[in-house]
Amino acid sequence: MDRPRHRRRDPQRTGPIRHSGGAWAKGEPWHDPLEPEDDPVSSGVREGYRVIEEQIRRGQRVAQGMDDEPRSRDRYGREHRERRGRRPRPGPEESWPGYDYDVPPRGGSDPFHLLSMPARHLGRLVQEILRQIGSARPDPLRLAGLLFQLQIEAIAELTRLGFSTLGLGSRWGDAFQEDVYRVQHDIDEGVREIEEEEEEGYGEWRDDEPGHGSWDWRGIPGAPAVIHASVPIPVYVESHESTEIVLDLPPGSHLQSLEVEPPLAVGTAEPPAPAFEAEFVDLADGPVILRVEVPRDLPAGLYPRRIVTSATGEPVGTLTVQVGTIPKPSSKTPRKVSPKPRPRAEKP
Amino acid sequence: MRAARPAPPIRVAIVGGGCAGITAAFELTRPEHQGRFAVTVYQQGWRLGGKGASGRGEHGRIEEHGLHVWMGFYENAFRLLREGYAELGRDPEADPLAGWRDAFFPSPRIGLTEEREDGGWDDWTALFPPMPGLPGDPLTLENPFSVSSYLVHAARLLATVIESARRRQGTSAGEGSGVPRPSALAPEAILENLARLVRYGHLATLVGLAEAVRGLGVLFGAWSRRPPGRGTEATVLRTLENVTRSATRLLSELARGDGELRRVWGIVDLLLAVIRGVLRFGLITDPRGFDAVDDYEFRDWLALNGASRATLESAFLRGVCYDQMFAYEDGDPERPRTSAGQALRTLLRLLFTYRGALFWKMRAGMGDVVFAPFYEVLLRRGVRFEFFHRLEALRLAPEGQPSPGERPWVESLEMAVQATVRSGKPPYKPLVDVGGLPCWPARPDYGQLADGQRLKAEGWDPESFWDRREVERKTLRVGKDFDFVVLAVGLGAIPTVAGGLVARDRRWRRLVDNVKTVETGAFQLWLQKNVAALGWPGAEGITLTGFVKPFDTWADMTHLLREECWPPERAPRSLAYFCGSLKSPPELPGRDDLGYPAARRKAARQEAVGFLDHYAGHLWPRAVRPGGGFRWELLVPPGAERPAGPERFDTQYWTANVNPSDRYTLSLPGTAKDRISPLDNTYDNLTVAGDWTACGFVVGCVEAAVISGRLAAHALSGRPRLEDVVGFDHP
Repeated sequence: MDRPRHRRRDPQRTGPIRHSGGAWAKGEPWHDPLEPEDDPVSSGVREGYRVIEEQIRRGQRVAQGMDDEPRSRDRYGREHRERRGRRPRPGPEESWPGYDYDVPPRGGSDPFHLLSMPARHLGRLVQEILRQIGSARPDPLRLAGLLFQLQIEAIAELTRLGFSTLGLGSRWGDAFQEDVYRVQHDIDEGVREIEEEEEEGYGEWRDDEPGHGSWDWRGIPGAPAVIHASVPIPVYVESHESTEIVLDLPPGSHLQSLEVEPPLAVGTAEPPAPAFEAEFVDLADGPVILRVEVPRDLPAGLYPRRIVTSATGEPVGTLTVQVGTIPKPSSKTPRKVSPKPRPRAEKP
Repeated sequence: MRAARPAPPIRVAIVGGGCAGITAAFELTRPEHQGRFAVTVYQQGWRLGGKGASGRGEHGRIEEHGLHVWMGFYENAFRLLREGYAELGRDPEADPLAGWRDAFFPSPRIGLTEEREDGGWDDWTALFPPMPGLPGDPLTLENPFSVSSYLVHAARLLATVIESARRRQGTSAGEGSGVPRPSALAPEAILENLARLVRYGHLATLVGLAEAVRGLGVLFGAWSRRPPGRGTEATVLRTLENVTRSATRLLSELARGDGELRRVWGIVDLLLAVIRGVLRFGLITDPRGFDAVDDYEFRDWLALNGASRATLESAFLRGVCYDQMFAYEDGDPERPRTSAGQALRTLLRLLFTYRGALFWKMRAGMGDVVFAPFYEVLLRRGVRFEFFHRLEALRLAPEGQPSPGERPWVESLEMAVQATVRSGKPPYKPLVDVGGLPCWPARPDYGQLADGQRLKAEGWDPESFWDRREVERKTLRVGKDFDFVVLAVGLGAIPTVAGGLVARDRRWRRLVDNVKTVETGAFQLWLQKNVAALGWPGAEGITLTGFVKPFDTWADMTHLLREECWPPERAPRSLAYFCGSLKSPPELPGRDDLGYPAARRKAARQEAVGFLDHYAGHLWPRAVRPGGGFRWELLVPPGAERPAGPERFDTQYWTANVNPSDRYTLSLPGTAKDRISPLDNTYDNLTVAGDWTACGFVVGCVEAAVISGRLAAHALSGRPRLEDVVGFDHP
């Protein structure tokens, strides 16, 4: 028997939700069922204590293993500080071995005072350790101290980072940023120190190798970037502000032969506009990437640029960079058309 | 007053009885629907199963389309299976394989092979520890499908792997004995102790690395609750670079003379590259999830994120992400290609969301433990099965017929009826009893068919694309014979059965042009000796991959012999499965190329015989003669004939899966966007199902097929809810 044709209703949606935010918003995070569930701060603090205490135990074992004579943690720390030529600091927590900085009271927003620790790069420390091992007269105590410091400092920086995302970052506020810069400064100091020691003849360990792999990826300053590209290309963004990149090129564009046009054509009388830097980089043994660098002082706004062929200058596409949130037009500016402010261009 | 007549059921025609079609049938006939849908499954040939089909041959020999092992992360597939067995209600006291746990058992080991520089092969067996729960258990509190949870798990695994490396080094370096002071020793002893000291330094640094990655785990764990703060990603990347650099230097040095450590390092390097890539490409927050890197080939993407060449060529990567997924374009071993996005999704789900065991093996053929139970359950629910029905053409309503605003629809399905049952007989009964277990036979039951003996004598193969014999044509019309169509055939069949759709719709054209498939091959050997007697040094029941192409995967399936019915005096001692992708022409052969299947079958045989002669000795040293060459007498023929030499191979089972619908669907870079979703509503009464659809998990496997079947059911009925399709919402 013929019947009227059935029709389907439109589905609620036709694809999966890919955005992790959906999972964050709706579901519980994965956790080991054997572990009790905690709030993030408590679990972070607990993990922090566990790590630090474990490091103390390991440090003690290292110290004992390197010398027949049992040493107190006080003596070990003092000797280590003296070798480093730094001022011993008195205090109730001086017994922290191998550590020549103030040890903070356990409390407050930075319970381990981790922000003050010298967050040297692991690689540099490893380099120093290997230099010690490879030298004609390895100093066991020095070596033990370095090994221990390697472990502590690796964890220190990571734990600091962990705390910064565990809800304490907002309380640190600007102080957090200052601390980051200070830590960077400490890193530079540490590196200089090692380099000076190298010049003094600490063996042949000059292991300042380039980044692993074929390409040297520089650290990305911390700001999220949203990228929309009409062609498949890795886009590498250095920006201190939230940034949105829109790359519009015809499919199949020969990326090696393109360049991003400067903001103003030569010969115009207008003052140079503030600009971001952008270039197509043909990586050795790798793909072509688009590198975009947004200067720190570039005002929030929308910055369009043309993409042209290197050989002929013929325009083939556009690159638009939106930096930060575009401010509303000043209310003092007389407006002829609309009495209402135009809606701001918001990031999605 | 008379009661209102209940609405007549909506008639659904499901074309294709593989995993996807059977899932759709199961979902649409749930009791909760109260008979709203009347389902008919149209199946070419005599059995259900599609690429998961199996049949019983002489002595109950299990003969399969290929090797089928279910992964511990097949949440939807296991959930469906468990429901099916519960509804089946077999008697545990009387029936073999009564429950799903009887039918499946955990297999936690995976073996990998790696070619040495001298041309030999090394084997490596990895044991994946049991994880809490069982696949298909309810996910009550946990959402394992987020990037942050994957990162946490990756960091934990890294820490474990590094820790295990440390333990190995600790043992070799004399950990715990203390390091003597050099000044107290003789010069030669100083050298010795310096060497130990170097190791000791490595050791301690490994400790630091392990702690560092553990710290990363803490950090990623925090991200699962709150997105990363400003600037954090960059700092983590820097830290990761340091970890990588240190780990690379140390572990690659240590691993130079240590094969096992080298493999462990391969996994560490792979995971570091994955973590780095996830951060660099912003996959944590990208609304496209891992599809954001779908255009990249996986190994290229890993290289872009710093994976070493050794890692890219490692057995682990090749075996797990390529061989197991037949991920070789046109079956060419020189062209391993798979999408970074889909490979990431598979790898992370595989490693970090499995429950119980990494793999689950079946106690009998997949047809026996999956499709026969579902056939029985669906039959009880009132589903009609029309075997020997081959879809010839899916026809849309003529162009211009839909009114403005109306969607186009499927007007008719033209079916070739391949055979009919003898007059006066009830509908075709497809199952046979083997040792008390309902199973699919390896051949049709000619006795039930009209002209059955003639068909048998003529060598009729109703599953072959090239065997076009039919007894009649049947045209099913919308409104009369069906209301909705679920097109659940293999992707390779689409150009043939839905040519009109492909010609009219650019999206369907892109689908068939861009989403490629590949032929696969498999053979099974029944052997007189068990694997230990053949010389295999490892455990029984291994699944080993990464071996010589084309049959790069071997599974010891000896456990299946219990379900077969050999005479005791001739019973084999072991059963080996081999499979892999076959190098095949990129263009599908035409219908008129009648010699194609036989030629491909012959080629697969030659490959298998050559493989056994030249390479079986690497796995089974005692299965080859001293001068080389396989000992063919080890093979157990089912019949009385016992040919000598390679002809003995002809008594075994092998297959070249060259039918278009049997071809395996690849996940080539940049093609995810070309797939069509079961939720797509372009055609009013048509939905699709199969592992080739845009079902969220775009990888050819049972789980993808089951997800797609559930989505197809959702498209027609609104059930299951999309939130209940496990892992559909996934980055």
